[in-house]
Amino acid sequence: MSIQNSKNEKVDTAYLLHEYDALVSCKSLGFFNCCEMVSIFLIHKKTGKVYNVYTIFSFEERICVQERTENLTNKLIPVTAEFSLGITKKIQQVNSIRTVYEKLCEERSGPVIDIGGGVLQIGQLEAVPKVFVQKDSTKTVLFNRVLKNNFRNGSYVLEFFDTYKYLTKVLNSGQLKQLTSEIYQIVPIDLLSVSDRIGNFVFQFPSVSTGVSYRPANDEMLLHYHVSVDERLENDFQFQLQSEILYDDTVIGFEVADCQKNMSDFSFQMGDSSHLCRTTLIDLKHHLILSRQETSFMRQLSVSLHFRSQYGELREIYDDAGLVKEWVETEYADNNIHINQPVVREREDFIESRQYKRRIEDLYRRREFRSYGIVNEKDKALQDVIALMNTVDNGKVYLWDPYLSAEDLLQTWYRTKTHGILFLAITSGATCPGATADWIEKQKETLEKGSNHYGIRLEFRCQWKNHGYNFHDRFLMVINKNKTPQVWSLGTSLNNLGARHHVIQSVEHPQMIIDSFEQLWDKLDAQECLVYRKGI
Amino acid sequence: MGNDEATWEALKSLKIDVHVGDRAGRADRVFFEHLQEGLRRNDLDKIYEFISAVERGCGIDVNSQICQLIQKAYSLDGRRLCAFIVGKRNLYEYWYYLSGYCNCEMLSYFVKLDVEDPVFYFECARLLLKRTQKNSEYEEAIAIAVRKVAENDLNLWKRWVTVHENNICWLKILDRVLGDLDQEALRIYATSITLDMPMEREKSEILSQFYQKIPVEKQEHVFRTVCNIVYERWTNLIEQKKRERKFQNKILLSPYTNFVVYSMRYVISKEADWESFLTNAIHVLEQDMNDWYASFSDMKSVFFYDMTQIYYLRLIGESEKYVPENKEFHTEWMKLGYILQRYEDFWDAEDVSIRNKIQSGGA
Repeated sequence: MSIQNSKNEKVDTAYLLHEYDALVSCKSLGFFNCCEMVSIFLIHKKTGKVYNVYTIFSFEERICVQERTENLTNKLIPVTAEFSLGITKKIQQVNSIRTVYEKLCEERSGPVIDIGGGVLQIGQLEAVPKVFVQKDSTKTVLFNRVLKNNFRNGSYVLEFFDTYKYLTKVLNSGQLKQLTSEIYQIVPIDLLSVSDRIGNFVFQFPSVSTGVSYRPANDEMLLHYHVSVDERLENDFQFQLQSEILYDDTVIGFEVADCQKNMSDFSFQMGDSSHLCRTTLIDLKHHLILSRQETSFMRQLSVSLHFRSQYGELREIYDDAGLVKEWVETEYADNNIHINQPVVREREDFIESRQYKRRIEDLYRRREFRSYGIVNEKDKALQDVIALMNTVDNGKVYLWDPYLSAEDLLQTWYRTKTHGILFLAITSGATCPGATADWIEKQKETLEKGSNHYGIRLEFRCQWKNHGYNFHDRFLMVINKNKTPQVWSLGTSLNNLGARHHVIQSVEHPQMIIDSFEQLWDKLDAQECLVYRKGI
Repeated sequence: MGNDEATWEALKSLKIDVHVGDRAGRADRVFFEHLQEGLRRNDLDKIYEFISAVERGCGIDVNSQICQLIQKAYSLDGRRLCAFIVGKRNLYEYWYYLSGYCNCEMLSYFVKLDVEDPVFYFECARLLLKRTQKNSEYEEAIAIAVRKVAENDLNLWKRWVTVHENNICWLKILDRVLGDLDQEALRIYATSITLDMPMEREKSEILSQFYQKIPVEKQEHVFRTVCNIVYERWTNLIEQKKRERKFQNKILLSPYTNFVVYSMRYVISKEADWESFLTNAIHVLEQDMNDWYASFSDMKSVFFYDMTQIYYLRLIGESEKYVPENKEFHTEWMKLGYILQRYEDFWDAEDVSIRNKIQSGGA
C-alpha cells in the first residue's frame, strides 16, 4: 500500500498548550502546586552526549514545595561498554513546567533539546493529545507500568512520543533488558514491558480530587456507590457517575446520575450487576474523565487445602535392583471450602458453552490451534503450514526444526507464493551423528537440483559439533514489519506433519522464541554449519 | 529403715530403655532417631521434638510399681528423690520421671531446691505450665523455676521465652519473673519476643498490663534495659517491613502494642521530644506518599506502617496529655490532616475510629 499521500500528524502547539493549561488548572483532577520530573538518561562515554531514555513529569500537590534535584543513581551505572545510566529527580513549582512543555512542543522535531538539565539527544517526537489512562482494576493497563502511582482513579497524560527510538537501534535486546532492569531497581518504571515508550516525554496529571468505590447488593440487582470529593472543590462542582455492566458483548446494565459536590452515596438499579462493571466519573463542567475502572466481582471461591504429616510415609521409587533410589513426600488435598455464587443464572451456562465453542472455532480459523493425525492428514497439515508461511508480507520467516531437511524445504517454503522474502532455517546434525558432513553435502545437492530458486532468498544452517547448542522444539516464525510477530509451535517435525497426532498452536510470547532463534543463528555462523544459501 | 533403703536401692536399679516398635510407621521411627541424636549431642530441640510427639500421641505408659516406688521415695525424702532424678543428667529421663510419676506438688517442691542442671528447672516449669493452664495455684513455682533457668543458662532462658511466648499462663506470670532478672537476661527477653505477633484478644489483655504489675521498686531496673531495646527493635522492624513491602492494610497492632507504646514513651520522656518524634514521623509519611510504588498494595502498606508509628505516638500524647505549642508542629499536624483526608479510602470501615482518633489529636 502506498503511503505517498499520507502526512505525519503534527498537532498544533496552540492546541497542545490549551490542553496542558486545561489539565494543569483543573481542580477536580487535583490541586497541583508542583511537579516531579524523573529523568532517565544514558550518557555516551566517548562523546559525552546525553540520550533521553524516558522522562516523566508527574503533577502533584505537596504541602511544602521545596525545589530540589536529587540523583537517584549515586553514580552513573555502566550498562554497556559505551553507555552509562543516570536517573535524576527534580521537584519544581508547577508554574515552571509550562515553559518546558512549550519548549517540547516547539522543538519536537529534535535532534536535541535542553529542558533545563543540559542538552538531551532526542528522536523525532510526535505530540500526542490528551489521553486518559485508567487505573488497573480487573482490566490492567500496561501504560500504568511507566506512570507514577496511577492507583487512585486514573490520570490524564500528555505525551511526546519518540518515533525514531535511537536507543532500541543501538542496544541489542540483552542490553535493553539489562538497562530496563537497572532502571526498575531504582524506580518502578517498567520500560521492558512498555518498550514503545522508550525515548518519550510524559506529562502525567493524576486524578486525585475524587474517589469512587462500589459494591453489589446481595441480590446482585443493585450497585451501591460511594463518591468522595475534595472539600476544597467549588460548591457548584457537578459530576456525572456512569455505570455499565458488560457481558457477552452486550450492555446488560446501565445507570447514570448527575450529581453535585455534597452528594456522595448512590444506589443504581442495574438488573444484573454480577459481571464486568465499568464505572466512569465525569466532570461535567470541564468535560474530563475523573475516574474510570473496569471491575469484576469475586462471586464464588474454592479453596483446596494441602497438608502432610510431620515425617509421614513416603512414596518410594526403586532402581533396577529394587533398592530405593528416591523418596517423594506426598500431600493430601482436600477441596473442602467452597463459597457459592450468591445468585445462579442458568442461562449463563448456555451462553458460556456457546462462547467456548466459538472461541475454539476462531482459534481454528485464525490457525492459532489445529490438531492433526487422528487419521493421516499429511497433505492437510502441509497445506496449513504453507498457508502460515504465506502470511508473511514484507518481513521474514524463520523455521526451527531439528529434523529439517532439504526435501522438507522443497515441500513447504518452495511451494509458497512468497517472492524475495528472507527465509532462515536451522536444523540439527544430532540426528545423523558421525555423518553430518556427508548429510550436509547431500542436502546442498538436493536443494540445488530441486528448483530454479526463482524468488528464493534462503539460508539454511545446521547445528552440529560444538557450534551452538542442541534443541528439541519445532517453531515456525513469521515476522512482518510493523506487526506483532507470530510464532507457531509445530508439535512435530515437518517430515512428520499430519502423520501422527500433533498440534500446531500459536505461541503467546513470540518475541522470546524469535530472540532464542536469533541467538542460536548467530552462533552457527561457521562455514561448516552452512547447509545452503541462495539469493542472499 | 532397711525397708526405706530398699526403696532407694530399687530406684537406683531402674533403667529406662526406650525403643521403637518393629512395625512403627515412618514418623515414629524418625522421632525416635531424633531422640537418639538429641541425646548424643545434647540437642534439646531434637529431644523435645520426641517428647512433644509422645505427649500429643500415645503418652507415657505409667507403671504402677514405679509410681508407688517414687511416691514412697518422695514421702521418705523429697530432696533425695530430686537428687536422684537430677543425677540422671539427661532431659529424656527428667521428662520420664517428672512427667510420668511426679504430681504438681512434687514439682513445686523440686523447683525450690538447688540443683546444678538448669534443664531440670526448665522441664519442671514446662510440665507445671502444661498442667496448670487454668489453675493459678502453681504460678509461683513456675516463676521460681523460670527465674532459676534465666539465672543459670541464658540460652535456655531464650528458649523458654521463645517457646512459651504464646502461652497465656506464662504471660500472666511474666511480671513476677522479669523484675528479678539481671540485665543480660532482660536484654535476651527484649530481643527474643515477637513484637508483631498476630493480634489475639486474651494475649493482648494480658500483655497490655504486665509491665505495670512489675513491682514499683523493680520497674526502673527492668525498663531501663527492656524499653530501649524494644523501642529500637520496633523502629527497625517497621523500617524493615517498609523496605520489604510486607503487606499491611491497617494499623499494625499486636498484643505487645501497649508495651511498645510504653517503651516509646520511656524513650521519649519529654514533651519536646514527643513533638520532634511526631513531626519527624509525619515528615516521613509525607515523603513516603510522594515516593514511587510498583503497586497499590505496596503504597498502602507503607502508608499504614508510617501511620502505625504516628498512631503510637498519638497514644503517648493522649496518655501524657501533651498540648503542643510549637509552631512547626502545627504545620506538620495540618499536613497529617491533609494526608489523612487524601488517603481516606485506604481505611477499612471498621478502622475509621482509629483514623478519627489520629486526626483528632491535633492541637
